[in-house]
Amino acid sequence: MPGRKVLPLILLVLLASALMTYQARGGTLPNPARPVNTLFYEASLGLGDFFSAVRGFFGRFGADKERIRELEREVNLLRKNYDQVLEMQKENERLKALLEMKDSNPRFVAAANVVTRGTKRWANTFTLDAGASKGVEKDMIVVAPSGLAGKIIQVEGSYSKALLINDIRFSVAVRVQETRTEAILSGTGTRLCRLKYFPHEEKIAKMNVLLSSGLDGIFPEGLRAGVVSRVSKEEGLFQEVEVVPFVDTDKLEEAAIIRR
Amino acid sequence: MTKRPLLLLLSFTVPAVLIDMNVSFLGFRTDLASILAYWFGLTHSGAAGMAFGAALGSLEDSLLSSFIGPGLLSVGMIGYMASFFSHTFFRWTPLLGFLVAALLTFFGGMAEFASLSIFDDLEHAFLGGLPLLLFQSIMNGTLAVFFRPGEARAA
Repeated sequence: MPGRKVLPLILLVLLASALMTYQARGGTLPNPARPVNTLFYEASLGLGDFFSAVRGFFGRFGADKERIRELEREVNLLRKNYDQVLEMQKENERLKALLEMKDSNPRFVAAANVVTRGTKRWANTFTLDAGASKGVEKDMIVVAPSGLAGKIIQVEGSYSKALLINDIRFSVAVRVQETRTEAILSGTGTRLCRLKYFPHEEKIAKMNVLLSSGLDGIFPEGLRAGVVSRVSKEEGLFQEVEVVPFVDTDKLEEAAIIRR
Repeated sequence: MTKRPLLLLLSFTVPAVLIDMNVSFLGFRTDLASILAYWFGLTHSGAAGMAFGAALGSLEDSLLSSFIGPGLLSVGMIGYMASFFSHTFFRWTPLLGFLVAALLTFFGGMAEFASLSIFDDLEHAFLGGLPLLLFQSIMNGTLAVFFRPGEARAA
């Protein structure tokens, strides 16, 4: 009977709808998979080098194979050593920058590695390996040496989840450094962000720098948010302003968490 | 399910979830959870495919976002509908496998978007996610060429 066949599907839709309605109304679900999640996060952290190697392999795949083989025979050992030194040097630079941030920033709470990027399809988030045990709290701010990266949206014992600056749900009150005009910077779900509610009469130009204004009550004043990449003065109440965030969230490996 | 197929299933599932969490091609993340649910639905009953897909989807929900439900629904539906497509009136060919898996991945993504739009009070970017969804659909369709319902059932 066709009705009986679709019964499991109807039950699935009802179950999912009930769970989502409960969460949408502010309810928090107990997470029985928490130990499993921790295992997956630990595995992700441990397998970081392996996945980097896989990425490297696929990155080289399209190149001239013969030439690669020849070069690999000649410089295999040297490159291995060089890669290791380079990787250590880059890591040192990043950690040094974070350390400087820790020393110079009284708001510093914790440094964290990016464990996994939660970019499923419709959201841009990542998981950090610092949680409540390191003093991290919801709505704290995630920064990299180059600028604002996101904010904490969920905290577990030893992990936390952050919403990235380019997620469409992300907004920060900003000020144009050159003209002091205030506006709202929002993510678009792509690599770029957009300046909202920027009136026609105000001046803004390509390469203008945007800093957080502190007026939203969440982000402290003066964090470097992004740089204007395109301005379009079409008809309407506001100008269309495209912004490239200073932090490339696709390449972020370590970050600092600060309080307001 | 006996111990051996369960271990075999886990040996596929765990790496698939880890790859979904960590690996991207040309900046696009993979969606191996959907193709695993599709394969399971194709080779088992609709209810089994749905249960496996729902479990996998909710695991990915809890790992990759803080909102449980969209993955549970979309991957569960893919597991269920894979069985529906393979066990009814279609004669299976690799091309049909490609089309069905690609369509189901796309459909699952749309169901996920609809769930988030309705139940999550925050705005979500449709256009931002669309290229990723198309990439995942084509990738899963390509993988699905190698899956055949008849062979798997005989095995």
